[in-house]
Amino acid sequence: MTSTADRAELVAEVDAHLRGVAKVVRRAMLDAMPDGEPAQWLYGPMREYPSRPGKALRPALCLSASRAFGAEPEAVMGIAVAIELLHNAFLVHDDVADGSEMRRGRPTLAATHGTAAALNAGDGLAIIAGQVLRKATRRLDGDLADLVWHEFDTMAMRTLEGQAIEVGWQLDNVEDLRPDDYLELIMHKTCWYTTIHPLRVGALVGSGGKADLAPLVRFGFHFGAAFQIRDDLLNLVGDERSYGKEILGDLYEGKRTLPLVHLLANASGVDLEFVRDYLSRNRSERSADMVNAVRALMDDYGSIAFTSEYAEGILLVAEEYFEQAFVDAQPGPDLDFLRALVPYVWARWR
Amino acid sequence: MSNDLPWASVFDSTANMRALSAIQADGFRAASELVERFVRMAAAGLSGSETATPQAPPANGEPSDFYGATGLEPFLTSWWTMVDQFLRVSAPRRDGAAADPDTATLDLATEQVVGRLQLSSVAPGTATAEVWLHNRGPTDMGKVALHCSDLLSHDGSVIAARLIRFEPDIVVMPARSSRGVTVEVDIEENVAPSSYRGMLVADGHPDVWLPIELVVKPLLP
Repeated sequence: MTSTADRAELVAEVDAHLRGVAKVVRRAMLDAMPDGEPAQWLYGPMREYPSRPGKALRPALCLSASRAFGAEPEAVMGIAVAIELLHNAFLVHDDVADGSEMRRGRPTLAATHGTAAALNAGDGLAIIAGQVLRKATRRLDGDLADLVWHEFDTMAMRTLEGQAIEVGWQLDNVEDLRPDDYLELIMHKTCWYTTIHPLRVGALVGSGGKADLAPLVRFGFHFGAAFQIRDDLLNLVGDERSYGKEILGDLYEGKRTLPLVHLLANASGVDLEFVRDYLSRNRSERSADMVNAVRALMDDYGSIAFTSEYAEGILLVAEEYFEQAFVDAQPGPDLDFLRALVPYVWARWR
Repeated sequence: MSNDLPWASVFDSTANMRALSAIQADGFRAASELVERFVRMAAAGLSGSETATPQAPPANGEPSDFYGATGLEPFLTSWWTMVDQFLRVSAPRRDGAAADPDTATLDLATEQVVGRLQLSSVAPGTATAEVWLHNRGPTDMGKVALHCSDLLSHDGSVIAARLIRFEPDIVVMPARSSRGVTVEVDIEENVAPSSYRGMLVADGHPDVWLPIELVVKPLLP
């Protein structure tokens, strides 16, 4: 078995790389932001989330994939920054929709500035993302630029489809969900824009449009799904300081995560009645005691263990898919970074 | 970043797959089915016909799975083999089902062939077709050369093997690679219209062979 020290070293190396990318991308995002008025209720709030330390996984994937497929070091920086800006726009709107109170260790924009200003700030970030992408694609061949825009549009629509599916499940109080319904949700809502899109766009530009993009969907999904499920588990078993968001926040919101899907499918009798009653309430009607009771039922019915094991089955083949997706890529530090991501998720898993 | 990942000893995917639990296999199967659907959607999207809805079953009546898929990507075949103790019932292996029947392929890793190589032309002329070589395994197969037998018609007429060319004549087949080879046959003026049949083989792979059929058409119908 790999020693704890080895795992810690791997995690530290990947984290250091991500921090380096995050620093550069954060500065580029802030540089792209307009100055001037109204600063207090628009441009100031727009700078909030991009200023906060995030993982920068998306731009890191895009940059490394492009270079592994032959791009110059900074060739896709603008595209990577546009992806991260749109991600920040989604986060602002997500927090409004979910009624979340914490984001990246600080209060959400909606909590500090109110819903209306937060929505405007989110819209503004999405528009700046488009501006940055337009500028970045001007330097590309026309057909390639079209392909990049197509990928960007597809990513945005996939994400919105995922949001809509999830909102529908909550509003319709859907209970008869299966694990593959959940996978469908995160394919739309998370994986496409977190892993698949950055990898595909990076490979597309790096190879001049010649890379086979299909294998990147496979690797991106298997890696992204495992990453998301791990995040869902951390929301249930982690601590707020390292997680950066409120612990048990997904439960407060009634999000149909994989552990909850499992619990709904397996609980019986008064336990099932309790969970159903809990989900039929809105957030303000869900007390801390109720949330803790649902969380305890997840342990009783093996929902946490099931989720971990189910996700392991998804992650196990990610390395094989990686080799297929990057068979034509150039060896080097960027390929090494991408290859390290699967063990990175795994190392933080167990 | 170091190439020598500390993870390598743990992440032996082959060993891990053999030890898959039923729950892990469920996760793997569900993810694989979903991702193949999105691969098709992405490909269709680039050609302008993208749809977010599951695809309709094909007109030829081939059985489809829950999502309308008629076969997973050939790569998955090797995984199905490894985990078939869990997956055979819900996702049976369908050899060749994913392949275009008009595409002749030789899989050097699994020693499977799909289809047959078909060419046609009038005499005199040159018939051209393409055959695909696949190496889906993790082993570098090195250089591979194709050879073809004489082509024989029903009445014993022969088109000599020396008139059949391959471009490229030697193919490099690294791990997990596919290469297309163009096959050209020169048809001399005195060749009679008919079907001429023979066999294509790959040097160093004694159990891989592919039927080849050349139809020489009359100059005037």
